[in-house]
Amino acid sequence: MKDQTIEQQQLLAAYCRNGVDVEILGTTDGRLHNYRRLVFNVVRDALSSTYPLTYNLLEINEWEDLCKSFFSDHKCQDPQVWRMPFELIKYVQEFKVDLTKKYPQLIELLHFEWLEVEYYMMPDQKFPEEKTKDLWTSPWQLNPESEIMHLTYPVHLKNARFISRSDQGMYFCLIYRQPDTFKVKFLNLSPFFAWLLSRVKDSSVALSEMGQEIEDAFNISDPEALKENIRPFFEKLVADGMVVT
Amino acid sequence: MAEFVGIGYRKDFGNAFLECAEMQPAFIEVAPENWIEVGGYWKNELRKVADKYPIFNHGLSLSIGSPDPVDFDFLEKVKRFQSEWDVKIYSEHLSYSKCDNAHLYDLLPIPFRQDAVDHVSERIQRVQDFLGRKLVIEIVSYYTPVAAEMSEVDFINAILDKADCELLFDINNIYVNGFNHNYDPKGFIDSLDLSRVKYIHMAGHDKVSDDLIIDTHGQPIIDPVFDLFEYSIGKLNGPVPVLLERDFNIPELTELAQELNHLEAICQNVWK
Repeated sequence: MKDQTIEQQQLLAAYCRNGVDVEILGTTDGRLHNYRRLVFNVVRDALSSTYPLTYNLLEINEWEDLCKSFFSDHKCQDPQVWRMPFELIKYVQEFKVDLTKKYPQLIELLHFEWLEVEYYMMPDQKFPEEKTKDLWTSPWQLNPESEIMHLTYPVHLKNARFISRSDQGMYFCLIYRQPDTFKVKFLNLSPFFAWLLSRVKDSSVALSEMGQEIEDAFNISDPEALKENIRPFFEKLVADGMVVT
Repeated sequence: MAEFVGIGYRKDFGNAFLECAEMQPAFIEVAPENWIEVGGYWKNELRKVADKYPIFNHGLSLSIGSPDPVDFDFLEKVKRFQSEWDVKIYSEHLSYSKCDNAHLYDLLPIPFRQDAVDHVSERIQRVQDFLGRKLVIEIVSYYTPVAAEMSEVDFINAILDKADCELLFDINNIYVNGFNHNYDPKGFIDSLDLSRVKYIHMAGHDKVSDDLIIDTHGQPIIDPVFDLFEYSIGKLNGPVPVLLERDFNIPELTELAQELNHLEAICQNVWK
């Protein structure tokens, strides 16, 4: 195309992204703003529906400014609009220090909210063909549509508005998609169960063979006491389709 | 079951879609961007719907009129999706939605110019070669022309001819454009190369001021658009699929079914 044609297209696109008035050849008076409004509405709606908790956490003008600066300064890369909000996280991390200082839980909250969308929508993963026969003597076969989040703020436990720096700590949250209902679930994990789950996920070893490891890590040496500690957690995971039986 | 008229399938319809006895479309249409690499609940739902109805695709992100390069990585995903779901028709918008390496997620008007005709036509041909099927391009609604040097209808006809592609005849868009730019929609239709029409879209819109309609797909189809539809399909060589679009203010499915059946009745009357 001719340079002038490309330039006019670029001017319109830039105007839609930043809303700064522009002269474009041959446009009808008073009509251009409709494009900015329609385009920006799509972006703001996608962000708001993906991050409802963040939307509630921020002041109204902070959210509006964030949406505007994100769309203006960042070149959205994903052709699928529902995936585009993922790009907001990196943008906030890199360019919104004022917000992350004011809201130390913000980045983790964004991740938490995005993971819910991602897990709900993610392509179906191949489940293990083998079953978990017993909590102690056979390796746990886990739902592959899962991961453990390591958090420094309890965004999975508390309303983000009531989280402050004093809540800073070590938190673990299991996220998984239930295979029968397709619902996305979050489960708060103690450090012990987070470690245990990570360990069984990364190996094909039964708990009975991990006695020494567990003893070293958590100073629990009685296998029967250990089994009784683990059983309710195991049963919950089985009931929720997180452990395949 | 309808013979000619399908419906744009929305996640908002939920389970009610397959349970609604009155809603019996000839096919459903989905935007591939909303379904590519999606699993879980929605894939399961789409499978149930696809078991009952043929699937058409109406794309949003191809950005065929963009100065940016065609995204063949994305197009490869579209191609795989269409193969997996046995997609019958792939239509896209004669517009651009990406520029300077940034997606805009809406449809911007291409300048009606000869160099744009050449540029878009070459890209359509490359897309058609890549996909191994004809692209069906939609006449989009627009609220202002941009840097135009030729008429809209000449622009569209030139692309249809040069790209050797097919036309998505969006009759609501033609009505909207006629209103917004003060031309006679019937005269526009009479000047179009109707031999290229492969598919028709019908929808409602919102009149936001005395001289502007926004193409929202958020209202029922109005009578003048039904009239234009009847006028238009009578000029075609034969039947083509017709789609009822409703993207916002989704009413009860029984109400949508009535609108669909109204369109079907017009088709039956003209084409049978």
